[in-house]
Amino acid sequence: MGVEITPILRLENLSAQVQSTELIRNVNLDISAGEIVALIGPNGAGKSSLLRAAVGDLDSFEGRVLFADRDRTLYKPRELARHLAYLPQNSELSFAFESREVVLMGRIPHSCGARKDLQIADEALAMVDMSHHAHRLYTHLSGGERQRVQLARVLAQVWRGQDATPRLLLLDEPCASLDVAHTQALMDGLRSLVSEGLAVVMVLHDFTLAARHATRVAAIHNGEIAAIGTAEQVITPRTIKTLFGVDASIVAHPKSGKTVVLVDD
Amino acid sequence: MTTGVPLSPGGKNYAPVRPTFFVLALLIPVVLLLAIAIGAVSLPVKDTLLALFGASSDAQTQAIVTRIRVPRALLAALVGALLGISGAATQGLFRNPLADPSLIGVTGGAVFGASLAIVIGGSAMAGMVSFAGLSVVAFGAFLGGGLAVILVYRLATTVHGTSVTTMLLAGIAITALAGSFSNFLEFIASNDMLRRISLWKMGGLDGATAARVWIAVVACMFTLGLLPRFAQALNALLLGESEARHLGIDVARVKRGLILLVAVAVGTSVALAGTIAFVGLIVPHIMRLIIGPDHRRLLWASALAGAILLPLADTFARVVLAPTELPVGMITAAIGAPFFIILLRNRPDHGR
Repeated sequence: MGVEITPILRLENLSAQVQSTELIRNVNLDISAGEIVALIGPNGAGKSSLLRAAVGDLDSFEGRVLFADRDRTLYKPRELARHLAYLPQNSELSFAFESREVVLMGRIPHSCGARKDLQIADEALAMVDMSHHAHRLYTHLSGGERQRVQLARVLAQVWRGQDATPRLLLLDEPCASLDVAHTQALMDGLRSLVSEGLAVVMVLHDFTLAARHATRVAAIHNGEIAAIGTAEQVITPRTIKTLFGVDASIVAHPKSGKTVVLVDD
Repeated sequence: MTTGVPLSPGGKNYAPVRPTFFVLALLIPVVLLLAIAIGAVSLPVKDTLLALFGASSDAQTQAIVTRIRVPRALLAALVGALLGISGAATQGLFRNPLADPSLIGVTGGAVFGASLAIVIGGSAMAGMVSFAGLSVVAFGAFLGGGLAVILVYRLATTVHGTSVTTMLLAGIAITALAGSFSNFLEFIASNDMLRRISLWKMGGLDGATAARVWIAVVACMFTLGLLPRFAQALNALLLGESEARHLGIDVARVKRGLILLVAVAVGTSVALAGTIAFVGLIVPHIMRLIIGPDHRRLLWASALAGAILLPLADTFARVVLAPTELPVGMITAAIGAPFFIILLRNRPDHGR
């Protein structure tokens, strides 16, 4: 008889609509420590809405969101912010902060001393390969560089602490503007944090990336979870055909043997 | 609201913090001394200093300094500080480095309130009624400004919170509405009232008295004491409201607090000195270029810079056509507007 592990995040019968359009419908999902869950699905399927409903950014929704077994709305904002970070698709910041100042904002909910905060900010910058740009102005950075700084900010927010408190990171298309090397670096960084107890939910459009790094993959279609399981179970020609209406072939990577998705002509 | 998150040391994008604040703090007494010494009758620095300590041998010099110049210079500095810090907070709240405190309707409402006081007070009895050194006109301005802000805030607030975009648009609408009421009052006003309304609108520090200085001191203590508590929240708000919320900021409370403080600060300064354009816009903008956008420095720096800029502008207004004294609002607009246009044209990477 195994001990049941409390999930960090539990979505119970989550539904949301704007006017008469259903964004998400009856979503049930448990996220546990040490997991990377990838959300895949076509544009407008409800992936972002799911994340926004989970963090309380939607004006109204039905169902419950439990964070560490307690209703999300029962937390004080700052208390929750110490454990849960969320990066939306587009973050705009038109004021000329230095990169490191932006990353330090991720430490606002914490109070563990200036030196520790600076150290964490620098480590987070290193993880996204922005250490050498720590003092450059955010407004002078390219799109991909800005994204890396914003990623470092949310990473710093849920950085490993002394205690084993639950930590959850929700990322909406974090790799959209990153080049292949920085995507790789980010994924490796996330995996190292996940191995220390972080849980990550991320929207991904790259099946191959999802297959390689995600513990579980959830296929979102018309606001519902159409399929959830390991990459091998979910990323199949049939799911891809259902979700995207595209014919695709699955092959094994010649070196690693992992799933690679090729879209047919 | 303040947390222990450190300032990031070591960057070379901005001027070093301590020396900058040192220079700003040093400039204030210099500028004040200048404002007291220079005028229609210019006084040597030595006589000015003697008079400041009540030891002038000449009774007239003593009177000019203590009764006229000192209150005026102090009022200019205090109102400048209020406008500077309110401008910085407004620009942060609206996430727009070119926003102005008058955006939330306070100035338009104040003009209407003052006009109403002049027209009604004028017909009732010469408008000389005063309380605690403040004329009925000043009270009218403060009440008008306050009511306009409450209205704008209410219009922009729904169950889902306050939208700053809606506030901006509601501010424009309320300003236009107040403007049409003010125009109506000017239309029915007598020539004498019309001139008083017109002069009041230009903004001036010629009504400076010890009582007004004390009121400004209280407003400054209130504003400078409380606004900096929102510095870190303002920084987070620049990332976006949703982002600020996810950093643990109680966004609704922060907005309410900021709007209240800005309304009190700008309302007081309008009541004491009429509408003084562009100080609240340009001072924080310049300071942001010098010491960066972090509100933990910017709010204070803007207050200090405002306290330097306004006495300078007022001194200029007093001497440029001496012995005629121009309203200081005319000067700040004449200098501020072209400056604003230059800023607009030279905005770096705002290719949105």
